[in-house]
Amino acid sequence: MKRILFGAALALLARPAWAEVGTSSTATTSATSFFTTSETPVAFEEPSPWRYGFLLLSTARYQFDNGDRTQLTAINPITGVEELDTRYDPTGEDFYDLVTTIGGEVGYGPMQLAMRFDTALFFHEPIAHPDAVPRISENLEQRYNNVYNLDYISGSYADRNVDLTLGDFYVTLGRGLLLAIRKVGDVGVDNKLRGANGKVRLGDLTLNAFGGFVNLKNFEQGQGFNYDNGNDLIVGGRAEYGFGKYLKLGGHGVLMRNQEDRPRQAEIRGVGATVELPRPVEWAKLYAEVAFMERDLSEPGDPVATDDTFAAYMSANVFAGPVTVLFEGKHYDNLPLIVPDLVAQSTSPTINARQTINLYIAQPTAERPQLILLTNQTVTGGRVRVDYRINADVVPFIAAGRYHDETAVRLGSLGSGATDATAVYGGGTFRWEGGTATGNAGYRGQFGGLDRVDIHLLADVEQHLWDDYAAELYVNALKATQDNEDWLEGRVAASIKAGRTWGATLAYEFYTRTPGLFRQHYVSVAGNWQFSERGLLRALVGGERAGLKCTGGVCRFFPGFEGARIELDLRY
Amino acid sequence: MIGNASHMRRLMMALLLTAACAQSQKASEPAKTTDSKSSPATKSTAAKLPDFTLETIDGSQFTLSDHVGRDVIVMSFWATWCGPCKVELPHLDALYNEEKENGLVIVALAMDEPTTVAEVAPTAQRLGLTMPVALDTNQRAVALYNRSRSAPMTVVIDKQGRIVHQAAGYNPGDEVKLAQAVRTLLAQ
Repeated sequence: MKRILFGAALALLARPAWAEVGTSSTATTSATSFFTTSETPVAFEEPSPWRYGFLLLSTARYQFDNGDRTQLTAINPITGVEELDTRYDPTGEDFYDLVTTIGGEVGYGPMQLAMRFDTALFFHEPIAHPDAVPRISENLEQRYNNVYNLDYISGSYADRNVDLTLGDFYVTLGRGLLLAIRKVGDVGVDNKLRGANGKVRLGDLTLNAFGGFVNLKNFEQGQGFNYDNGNDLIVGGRAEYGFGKYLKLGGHGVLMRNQEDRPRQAEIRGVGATVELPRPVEWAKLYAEVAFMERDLSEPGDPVATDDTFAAYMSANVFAGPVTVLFEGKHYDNLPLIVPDLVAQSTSPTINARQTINLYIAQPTAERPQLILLTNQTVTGGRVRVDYRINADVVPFIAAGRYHDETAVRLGSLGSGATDATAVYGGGTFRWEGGTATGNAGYRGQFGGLDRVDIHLLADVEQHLWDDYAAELYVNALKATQDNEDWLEGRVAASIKAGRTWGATLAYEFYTRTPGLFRQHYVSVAGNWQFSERGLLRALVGGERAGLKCTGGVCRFFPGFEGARIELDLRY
Repeated sequence: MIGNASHMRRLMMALLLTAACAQSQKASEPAKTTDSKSSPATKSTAAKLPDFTLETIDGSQFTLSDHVGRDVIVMSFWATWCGPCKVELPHLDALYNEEKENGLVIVALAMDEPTTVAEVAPTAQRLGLTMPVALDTNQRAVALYNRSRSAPMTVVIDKQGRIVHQAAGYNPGDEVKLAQAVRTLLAQ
């Protein structure tokens, strides 16, 4: 208890603190509210073209024994043998961190200047055991280092026909098969291009050209990584022409080039085309995209990997009265994830978060977004989802997918063959007087290469109680079987909220895989208090489970946590 | 690479020149009219906020400047993976249908990434949404008006083109307060 109080006191004294965290799909608390406590808008004295904004987000954590016994296994460069060190705890005990983001923006008419500055300070951070294998020391050298980083700066002009940005910007071509530099809040990814981006609209024709160096979200709070941007230059462009609601045609190209001085320059070239029938008839819409990619990859040690890709993706909707049908199909022939430095992707989030979560492309999965997708590189398949709107309050759905994956065959992975996967799940949205329930449950099994079976349940029920009070129950559970190993993982949380003023949550999390390596059960109590229209305080005491968290094909490893955390959000 | 850099410089120059031409052309054009019964925008108010144009799920386009300085605008940032958003949106749609004739524009800005954007249109359909639902796949509106990428995030702009309200999150009952505030703005 002393530790908890001390941690809270430290956070309060430190005052400024936050880390920008992903917005959970179940998060219903307010982060900013300018007139939620009033029934009339804030009065502004005089109209002015000037706009100002200020943001301070701060998180202070005190972490005692988190129970996380994640171990690193790595090839010892000296012995050439894969080694395991059981004395190594990558998140440590009794350490503190203070992570703060300060952001500001000023606008004048259609112009806007924005910047954001990240700092992270660590105290009593984990260190390697004197006898630990060298790889562990190397790993820790890039973690828990104090961070002072200008994360984002941009100036933009945006009017009806012209949109220009100098500095940092996001860019996605089509559905991202060739390029998707974006923010994925749930897993803490916020990648930008730092350069110039211009878009011009000439009637039905839209032209876009951009170029810049990749600017990663350098700091990863979960494991304390602080990695550099690298030196990847990306230029590209897209042209799009629309024929009203009936047809939209687009074409794009991209060039990625690693500018490091290497014997062989890593370079990726790609072109793609999109065809969209936004609403050719009232009851249907269609989208299709193809992409071609050539790669010259320089991997560590400079073996050169040269390869080509063809990828196709399509989605179609049918709206037939109360029935809505979604079909998604994909055919990827050797579409790898493109990562910083344009090297082959590392598959270990605990060893190389930089190249595991920072992806330059998006691979539409045609599967549930939260799925931990083991492979998606050489695959053909699709899914269909049917929703039936019985009335505004009852909307059930069912979905089924089938996928044939030859990634392991294509890569020549030892002992791996083609994998066939089948997924079936269903659920819906249900409303009643003062309450709402949403959720789904289902099965996914894949066999042939890497065998795995998942059974999942996701449910969120909210009920209004009285006045401003409401209660919420959230359940997210997974039973997985992989390589003859069974485990359960998930979260059950019960919350009570009083409007936007305050809320409290009691949560239980579990992860039963590899007992002894990971702690299995975690309990936490959290609260949030909106102390003013512009300020929010959040606090958590207890534990949060370790594990992979995935969103749309991007997976990040979150280490276990046990301790106290306090967060302050101020926005003006 | 020298050739590429030179090419990029020429391209950027061309873009800037095109921008200047487009601006001068725009200044000489009358304000675009819409179905709204509100008074037309003036040049001074219509230029007060950074603009964006996004494709909507029915194939048309939503341009912010069509409404700034004339209508009361509610921008609701949401995503298909956001549960509270899907609870809030039907309330916003009801408000939209009640007040659109009085100059209220509500646009649901889907922040879905490439991997989930295919879900947007069917989600809007089963929620029964009739208001414009725009796709912000390139995160342009996010960069301008919802930099923290909160979901849901509500931004209200009054008839003078001023941002008068920003709120992240949704709690039952918020829609009542929002409706009262919007009606106050519409009456001004």
